[in-house]
Amino acid sequence: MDDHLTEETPDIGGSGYTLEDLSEYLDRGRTPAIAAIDDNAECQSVLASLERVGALSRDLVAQDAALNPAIDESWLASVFSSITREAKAGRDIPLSSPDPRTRLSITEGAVRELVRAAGDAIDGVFVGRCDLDGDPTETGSGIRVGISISVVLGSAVHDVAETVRQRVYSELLTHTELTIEAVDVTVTDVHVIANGSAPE
Amino acid sequence: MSDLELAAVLEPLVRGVAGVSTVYSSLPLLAQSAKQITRGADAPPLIAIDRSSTAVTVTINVGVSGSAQAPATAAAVAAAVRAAVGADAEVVVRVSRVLD
Repeated sequence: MDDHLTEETPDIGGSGYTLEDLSEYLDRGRTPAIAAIDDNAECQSVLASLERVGALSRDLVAQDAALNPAIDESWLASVFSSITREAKAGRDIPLSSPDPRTRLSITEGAVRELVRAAGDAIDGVFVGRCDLDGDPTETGSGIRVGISISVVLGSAVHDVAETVRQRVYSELLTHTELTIEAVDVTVTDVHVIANGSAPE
Repeated sequence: MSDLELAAVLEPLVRGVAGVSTVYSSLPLLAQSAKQITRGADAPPLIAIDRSSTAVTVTINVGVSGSAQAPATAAAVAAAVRAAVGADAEVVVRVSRVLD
């Protein structure tokens, strides 16, 4: 992996391991096991995202290279940058508890990963970045969720974006107590797979 | 019971709560110490016990199954821990990931 991909966040989650280290760990099949990575939520979030982007990259480069444009390196770099930035645990987003001696929360990083995974789960979609606009630490404060996605062209882009929006909204309702005002999905990249099935 | 022993008792208890997929470290590890740990020293417990205030504070970071609900699972973890450590304890449960 290029050095420039690790410049912004040399250390993931206080683990002592960089994005490059995690990528190599993934390549080795996560062996030998490293507790500082395996027990670190931020490292695990990054590893999960690396696996998803790796699968998408393999899908794209597996197509006819003569007919497909090469994967834009700057696009991949921006995706890696977003993954490492968003994996940070960030703020604790409160969950309600009737007991004043109990504090429950879900981390901002967990919410971002939830959004990212919900989008990535849609066939042909890869989430580029996720923004939470508003103060999620203030109970009842309205939050707008902004997601940029890349789409592998194969079905109507509008339908794909709407599917992502609905799935993200559903996941946020299930796993958070945020007041979601809107989920805005922006398609920023379209990848063409030359398998003959893409529409004109 | 020492803090290490208490953490060792609580960890399987937390892992056994419905909806909990895993337990993550609750202690921010310094970069250097993290690499030292991997070279053979005992890893610190995943659950943090703090007795610096009048009441013991137990901090737990969990990964929750996507098929469960994070808020309900966090509450169930807190209830299980409180039942083990007593009513006066401060219990902090943080959902660090929701797993597929």
